[in-house]
Amino acid sequence: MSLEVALFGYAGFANLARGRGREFRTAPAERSRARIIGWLLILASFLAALLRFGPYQAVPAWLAWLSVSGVILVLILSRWPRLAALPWMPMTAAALVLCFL
Amino acid sequence: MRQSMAWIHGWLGLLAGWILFAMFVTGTASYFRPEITRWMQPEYRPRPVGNAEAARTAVAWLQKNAPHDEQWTIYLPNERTLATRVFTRARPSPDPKAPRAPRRPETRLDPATGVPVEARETRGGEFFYRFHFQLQLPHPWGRWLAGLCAMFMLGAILSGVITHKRIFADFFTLRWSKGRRSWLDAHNVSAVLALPYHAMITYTGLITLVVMYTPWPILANYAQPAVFSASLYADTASQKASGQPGRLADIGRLVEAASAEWQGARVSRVIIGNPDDASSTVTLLRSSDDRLNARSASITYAGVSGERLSASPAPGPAIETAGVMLGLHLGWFAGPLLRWVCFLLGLTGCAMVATGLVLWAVKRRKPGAKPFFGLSLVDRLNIGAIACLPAGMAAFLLANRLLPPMLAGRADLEVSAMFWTWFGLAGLSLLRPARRAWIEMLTLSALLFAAIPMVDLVTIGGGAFDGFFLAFDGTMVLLAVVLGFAAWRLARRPVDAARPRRRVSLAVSEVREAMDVA
Repeated sequence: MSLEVALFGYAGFANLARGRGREFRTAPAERSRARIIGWLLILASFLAALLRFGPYQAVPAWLAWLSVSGVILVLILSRWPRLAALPWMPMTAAALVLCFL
Repeated sequence: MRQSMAWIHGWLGLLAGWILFAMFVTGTASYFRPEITRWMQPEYRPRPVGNAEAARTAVAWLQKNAPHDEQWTIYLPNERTLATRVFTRARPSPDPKAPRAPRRPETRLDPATGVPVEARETRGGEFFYRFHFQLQLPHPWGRWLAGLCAMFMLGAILSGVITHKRIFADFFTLRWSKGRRSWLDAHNVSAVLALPYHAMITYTGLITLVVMYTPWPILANYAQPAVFSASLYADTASQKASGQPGRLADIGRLVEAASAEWQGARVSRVIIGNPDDASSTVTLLRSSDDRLNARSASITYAGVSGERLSASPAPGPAIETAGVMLGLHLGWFAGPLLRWVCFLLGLTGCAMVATGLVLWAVKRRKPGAKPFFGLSLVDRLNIGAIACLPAGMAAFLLANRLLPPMLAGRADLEVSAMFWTWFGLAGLSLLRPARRAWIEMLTLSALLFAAIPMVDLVTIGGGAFDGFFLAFDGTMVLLAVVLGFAAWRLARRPVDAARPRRRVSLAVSEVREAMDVA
């Protein structure tokens, strides 16, 4: 399974969207924090891909998973904007567990 | 700059768009090429055997049926392709003027028994795969047209990125039910989020056939193009026969030896040169299922003694690059889950092309005004390509189940069913007003996809309750839901109905687009 790459990616993108504050009305201080967390989670998804697929296949596999997780986030975000970003913490936790499974 | 790019983007996308949509859809389906073939031959359920055994049974069949041919090629089965596929090429006639003997058509063998597969005749997933880059046209033209469209696509991607003002600001923006704004959002989101995929698939697709598109560098440097490919791939076909009869050693042992040398990696292909000669050669190719590079390493053995003659040298950087590009495009390295991800990205690509085509028409439509001829034409072609092609593909699968299994020439009838349905519906849709035609054709496509599992259940019966067939039929239901959703959204409200408060920005963008067009 390589689902953790997508979970990290989704959580990362969700935080980046929160950091934009458009749909979420996040406070300015909260925004920059969300942005930092978002980029860190994207980095985590790359590291997870590296761990799972090895150095040669990591980049294509990572980009593929990341793109799909972004598309799924945007689809949910467009329908249920407040719900979409909520589960990012359990997702990160699940991804961490999957990483070391 | 932006405006000229927007102009280029609009026209490149429009002109190639309809063919690109068909290429994207059939290409996406081709990620499941072996699975589609398997679904289309439901009566064929072989007992899985090891690779060495499959090679032995294939060689036994070939020795009986094509003993004196110049070359045998055996594709061994794997988890996805259940049958052994063999090709043979006859010895060239002694007359030097005679053309080189062509490769005979493929025979599919049961790996356990070594007899030809007895199942309904069908092109299977191979048909979508071939259509994806040959477009069902006579030989060079289909590939040329596909290459031209790929070049348009590459140009559209570049100009699209340049013309898109708010890539990062609109990264997550998708607004529903806002008329033209929504189409633009959907086009942007499907393009930007999967941009690495779109750029990769277009570029690698183009590069795969680059030697065909621009043969001149090779022609300028090599008197005979065959020498070029022989110097790259160490062609074993050039091995001369000695004229003395010889008998092949046990092929299964060679398969096991090669597999051991590759630390347990599978052998995917066996090429046997001069199989009835004392100087026969057996070349085994490594499976590339676990690698990015689709061109694999090989080991060559002497056919009679089984002695290891040579192994392919480590590929140079150019060959490695070409192999990796082909591998990226085909996606063979992807395991089941990653293959589904690729499939979803392919669908995102289909959505990008479709929304782009619709957007071109929506942008030029004036509320209340009668559409001009070009706009009607684009609208009609959009309906024919986007709403009717899925119906054709569903008809291809339905024909597979509904035509009698033993009917002569049924493989070609399946293909005809697809084109008659596709173009027939596109023609019929002309009789209806454009908006109704969109809704009706999408509904029809959805119904045809929904009919596939039912017809499967009725014609195959209990056999359909197999994990693989359930998954396939479930996917058909999902596709029906997606198409049905599109039809429902269209039917719910007129496409152009914008809320009153949007008037101002619409007017502004109309002015801008008028400038774009001018």
